[in-house]
Amino acid sequence: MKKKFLRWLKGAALGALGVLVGLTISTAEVSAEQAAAEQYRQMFQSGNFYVECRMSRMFKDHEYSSGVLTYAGEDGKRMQRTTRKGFFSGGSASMFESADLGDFYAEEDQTPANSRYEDVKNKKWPDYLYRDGQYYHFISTIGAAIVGNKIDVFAKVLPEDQINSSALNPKEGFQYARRELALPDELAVFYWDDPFRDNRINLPAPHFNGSSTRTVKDKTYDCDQYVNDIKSIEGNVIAQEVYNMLYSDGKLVMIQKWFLRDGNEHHILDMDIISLTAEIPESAFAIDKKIKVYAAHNGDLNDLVGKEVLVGEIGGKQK
Amino acid sequence: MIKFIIALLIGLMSFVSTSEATKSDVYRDAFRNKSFTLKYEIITPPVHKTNRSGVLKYGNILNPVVFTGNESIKYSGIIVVDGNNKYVETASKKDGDEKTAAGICKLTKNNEIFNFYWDIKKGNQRYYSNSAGLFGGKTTSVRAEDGSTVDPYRAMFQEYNYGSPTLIKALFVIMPADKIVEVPSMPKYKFFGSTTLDNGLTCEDYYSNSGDKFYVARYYFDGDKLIKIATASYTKRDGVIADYEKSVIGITEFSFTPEQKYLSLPEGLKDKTKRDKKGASK
Repeated sequence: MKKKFLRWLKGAALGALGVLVGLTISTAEVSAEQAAAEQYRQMFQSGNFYVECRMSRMFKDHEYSSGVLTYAGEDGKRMQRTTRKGFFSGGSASMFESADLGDFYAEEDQTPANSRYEDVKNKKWPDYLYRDGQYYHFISTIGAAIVGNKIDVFAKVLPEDQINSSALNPKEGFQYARRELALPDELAVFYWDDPFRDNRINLPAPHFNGSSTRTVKDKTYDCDQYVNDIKSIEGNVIAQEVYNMLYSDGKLVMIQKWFLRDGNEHHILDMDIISLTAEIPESAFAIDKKIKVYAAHNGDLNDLVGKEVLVGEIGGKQK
Repeated sequence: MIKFIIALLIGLMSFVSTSEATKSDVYRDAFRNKSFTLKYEIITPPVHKTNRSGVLKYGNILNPVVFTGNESIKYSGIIVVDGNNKYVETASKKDGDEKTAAGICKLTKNNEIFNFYWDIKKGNQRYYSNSAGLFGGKTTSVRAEDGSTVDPYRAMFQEYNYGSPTLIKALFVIMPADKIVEVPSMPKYKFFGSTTLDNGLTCEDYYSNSGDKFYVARYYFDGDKLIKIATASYTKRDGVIADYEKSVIGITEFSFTPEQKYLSLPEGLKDKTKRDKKGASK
């Protein structure tokens, strides 16, 4: 297993190096972006999109993957959902945000049945939702307290003008709301000016760096490469982020992300695209359960005495 | 401090860029050559930013000792750099009370990172780690951080991470500008001029102005020796000055030879890192 992985890595690395050697590509280059790239850009810009993906990362010769990540936008609303919490639960909008998170990894079995973490397939509510000028965070207490089939979930709501307040209760998770709602870096290649994106390092959008074909796990794809230069204060390039957008039959099916620095290449993660469409299914914004909504704690008196204020209910079957 | 800023702002109008040698050049070389020992203390009190700010004293998550914003905390630290080996310590104590002194230490040696702590027990400095995990107490054995978890993004920022954010911003003046990632909120200092104060100290002034964020730093020298750094920064939003911060850092020692005793695990801490046959940590 390890040898095969190493061979694959070497192949992939040499592949990456091969394309990157041509970083100072001459302008006579013939290659052009896949046609779908522009379609995806326009779709994201319109604010109406639906993405389902899965991220995986190699760690100690073992492949760890997130659950299914869902991002959707529709008529000004945004949502994000992950089906696996506890480990690698989602993408952060920018890898630089996650650079502070040391506890990214955990021991885990490959099969979801043995997973010690919440793995709710077909979860019928989002994790984060932005709607009508308010942020919602759905907090479920699975894991310690499963009673029969009952899953205890409640929501917290926060008006958008308070999202940057320093008095927010960190346990309620609103400090991550915008980061989680924003598309992760890999998809943001097509939507770098996502309004939910707080680009801490202020990198410009990755620029197109040529097309080629690449083989990943014995399958060959058309590859569009995008590169971001991370610069020093003086303007020289310290490191590079490389995104390999892999297409099959003209549609995006996989994104690979690499980080290059000091001649070392680090394969950061792979993202499998399950669904990427402007047709937003009912399930995206549906909340199929009646869920109680409480006001978020924001340093007021209720916060200090620990009182929960019920604001209303959300969701429930429409029929 | 305010007078200094006003003088600087007035002087800015007649700013002429020079490339003369400055007293801080020697210190700049020390950073570039990665060979120095720096001991400092933060003279300005910590800023109380939110209604929840406190200081986590120990690494033990279950039993944190937290100072509230009202108590006066004194921060200090030690940085020793020798090539790619680095020791960073940040210490804090209640003002005037030595018994409450505690430190958080990070030793990077041969590409392994050790995290440990110290406090004062019966008048003596005692080193310990919490390698027994969340539920354990203080132990005397320490293991290197699992090298395979090193996130390359984090590693890129860790290289110039010296613990205290206040200190790091002040040291931006002498850190090699071609090695540090450009981050909009961080200063890009330019040399502005030197002055001599009435008490015989000389100072070198630096400023950074990018968009709406403004930084100034003043390096104080006694002869050629750096003894103090003062910084101030503010953001201008809609014409209103906001986020005003200032700090004064006293340099207790800044020598160009790394103090080797800090670049090994202290006595009393046993290295229990599991290593494979080649000696690399697992």
